[in-house]
Amino acid sequence: MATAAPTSRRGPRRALGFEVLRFGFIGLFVLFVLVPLYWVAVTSIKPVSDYLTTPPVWFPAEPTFVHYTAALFAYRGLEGLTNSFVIATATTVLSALLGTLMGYSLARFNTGGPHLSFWVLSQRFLPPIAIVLPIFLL
Amino acid sequence: MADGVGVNGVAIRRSAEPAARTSRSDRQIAWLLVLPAALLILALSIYPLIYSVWVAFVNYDFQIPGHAFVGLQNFREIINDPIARLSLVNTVILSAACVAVEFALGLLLALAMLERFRGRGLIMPLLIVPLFISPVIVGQFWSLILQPPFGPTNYLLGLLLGRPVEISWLTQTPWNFIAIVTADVWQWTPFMFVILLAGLSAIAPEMFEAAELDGASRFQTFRYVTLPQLKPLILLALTFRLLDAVKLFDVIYVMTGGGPGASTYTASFYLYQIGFQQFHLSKATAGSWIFLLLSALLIMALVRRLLRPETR
Repeated sequence: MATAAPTSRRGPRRALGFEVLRFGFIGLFVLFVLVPLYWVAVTSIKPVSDYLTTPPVWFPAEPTFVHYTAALFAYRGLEGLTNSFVIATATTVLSALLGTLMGYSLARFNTGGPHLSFWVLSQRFLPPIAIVLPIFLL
Repeated sequence: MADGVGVNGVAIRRSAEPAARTSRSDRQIAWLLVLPAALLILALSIYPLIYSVWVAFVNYDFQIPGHAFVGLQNFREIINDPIARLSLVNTVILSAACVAVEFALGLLLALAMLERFRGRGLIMPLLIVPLFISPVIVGQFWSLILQPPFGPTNYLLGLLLGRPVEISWLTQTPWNFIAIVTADVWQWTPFMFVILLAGLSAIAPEMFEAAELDGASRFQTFRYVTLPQLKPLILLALTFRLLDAVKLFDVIYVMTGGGPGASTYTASFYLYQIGFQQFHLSKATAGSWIFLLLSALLIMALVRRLLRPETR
């Protein structure tokens, strides 16, 4: 399916202006994606005195990593990471297990016809808030 | 014809053949395999939903003792609550704006990235980085960039416009809406991009050659070859995004907290506030049923179109 780029044979007729637009757009979008990542990364290694300056500090003169140890230990980030890891592993294993069984049955025997598979998929569309409320009460 | 059709038609098309061949013991195994997952879904979503029907019709409120039956009063309270209506309007506006911008940018990006060029393999993974970041953290990212005094946005805009800019991005309407849409667009445009790029790559090159031989202009090729071929995947991408966008919660929670006042409440955020901050649980449950039915209507309309692309 996704083998050779389909339009590459239109090559010779390409207008230069179009190419400039095209790569300009790609460049701008890459910038749009990267800027937040850069700003967060660079803020994370700034000493506190560099936070509120105008003009902003684009790269700190004295990068520091104290915020990382603070986030991990003083603010219990390590605990949060451990919890995330445990929950993510457990749900992945469990859903892969149950999903494999059901998926095999649906694909191999077409159990329940299209309705069962649609019903299962439709769970994905439920707004979480509609489920969380009653679960909270139960 | 188009490969994209297969994505949607697969489950239905295969149905007739293998089912006819299965023996009885096969059929028992088939249901046995389905059972655990089906039971789990029943226990975790259907049972609570049924329970919540009861909650919606009684008085379940931490401030008032007892669970007296109150009929439709909870529903009436929600419908008459101006904040509830505002949240619904916000949900519609925000999800429409987010999905529209994401679709436009995603399609442009897919068209731009379709043809190979040097460095394409390097840019591709960069473009989908936002997809792997939790929405809560995306909200934090954009708060950090936009909100003065921590963010450089106002300073940069000031340089660009040549005069000082003092926008409070998270507390001033309409800028807070723009901030929310920006964060959502940043995270989800790559999703549109990936799906649409897959669709574009699946279009047979012969179609473009034929169009070129017929002397079609670039726009005509796009309008009469690319768009119709891409239609099933456009529908798929829009459906998935829209279903997710109406549930918008995390970004609101992190960036504006619904504020200032209740001006950026979405439906999910409103229900969370009513239920888990004010503990009017019956009112929130009634509201979540209204929201559920409204989204069910949207889902039915979208999915029905999605499931039979052949008849279009």
